[in-house]
Amino acid sequence: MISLDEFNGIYDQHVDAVFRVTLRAVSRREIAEEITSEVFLTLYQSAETITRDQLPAWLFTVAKRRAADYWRRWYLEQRWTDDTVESEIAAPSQSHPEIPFDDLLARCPPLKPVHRVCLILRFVQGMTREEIAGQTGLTELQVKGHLQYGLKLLRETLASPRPNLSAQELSADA
Amino acid sequence: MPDLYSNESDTLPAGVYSSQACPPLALLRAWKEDVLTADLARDVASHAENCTLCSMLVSDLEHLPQPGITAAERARIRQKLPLIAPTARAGGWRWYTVAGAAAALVIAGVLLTINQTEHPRQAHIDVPTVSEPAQTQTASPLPPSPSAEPKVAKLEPPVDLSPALVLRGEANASEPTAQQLAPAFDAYSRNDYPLAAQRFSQLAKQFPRSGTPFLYLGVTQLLTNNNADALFNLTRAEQFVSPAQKEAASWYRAIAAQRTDAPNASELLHTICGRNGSRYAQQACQLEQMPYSN
Repeated sequence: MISLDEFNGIYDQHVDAVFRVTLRAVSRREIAEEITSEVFLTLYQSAETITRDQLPAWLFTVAKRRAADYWRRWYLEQRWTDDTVESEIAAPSQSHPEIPFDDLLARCPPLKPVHRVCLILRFVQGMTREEIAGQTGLTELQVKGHLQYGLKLLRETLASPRPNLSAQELSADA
Repeated sequence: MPDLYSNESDTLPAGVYSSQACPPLALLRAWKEDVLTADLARDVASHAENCTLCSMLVSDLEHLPQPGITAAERARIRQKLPLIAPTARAGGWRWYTVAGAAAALVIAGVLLTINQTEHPRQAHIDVPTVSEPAQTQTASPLPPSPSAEPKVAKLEPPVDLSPALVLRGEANASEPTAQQLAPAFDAYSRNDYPLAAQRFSQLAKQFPRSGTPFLYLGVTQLLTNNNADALFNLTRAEQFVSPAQKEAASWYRAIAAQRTDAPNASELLHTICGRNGSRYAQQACQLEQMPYSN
């Protein structure tokens, strides 16, 4: 049983991790903040029935349940206000006469995960640099740098000859 | 000079096609964390499991350091938890109350025995009394009591004590200006409670019908375990505070009442406990269940 006297120590020890877990699940800081406070309030209310060795797993479980509640409410709202939710998530595009972006990314080995993340968030998710920075924890300047470097590598990949490249691919961005 | 904040310079090489049909990042993440409803998870999965870009994105995000909590967010979350925790040992509240009651009985028994021995016809139990506080007594800095008194969450200064108001310094005969309050709140924010109490006390004397100095004087006194004076000043605060501060004033007054074993402590806690929507209701209900000597 956790004494209420230990609560502040538990809060200081685990609030960062609970916030991170929650942020991964909901992707919005203000929502993560609300859910994190609910988690610790629930811990406070349940202090007499929780043992120390159940932490932090118990906290993470509560956080994920609250996140699931958030998404359930979001989905209900979407379903009632917009019937096109399902149609917005379409099947992956079929082959296209131009060069598929995912194919180009896969063919560019020097690209690191951070470059790919910035490129995908920019050109697939349609995020601005500010939004990318918010989602990744990078600064806007870092995002700009990663995008520019990533695009440079992609152009170099396109320009480098490959035996199985089609004429269309070879002439792209010449 | 290139515009650092323009997104227009980011363009894919000519001829490169990118799909716009992927689910938003938030949904992808939530899907990975397994917190989506079954229907929505199915929709996301039907795309993400067959999309190279989505798989790449979700996988690559794992390589980036996770954004953490900021100090401001941590403080805001804590602010939403105005918790009071008794200084109980690992056994929890019940251990402390049983032990306290047992100790009191032993002491009472010893005193009774001594008195009966010395004055057989006048046996009585000495009970410490709480003296009535003088008006706006300034707290002397008492060391933190090792007793099992409920700990108090510090009340945040009012949000309207902004720098703009400090500079403006509008005069009002019955209320101190933000400029007049600022030194007291400065000491309060720095946890310099003796100085804060001194300054709030001066303001309370200067503005005897203003609730804010009495409220924060009372809270400061609770924080330094000067409970009797705190009760007096918080009772006065509750009469004069603005509606926005009423809830807090009632709560801290109830704590002071319980600490000093005031006869109306239970009633005060019960009132807050029954208040729907009060941020202190739950704690009041729990404190109400803690037995105290009366």
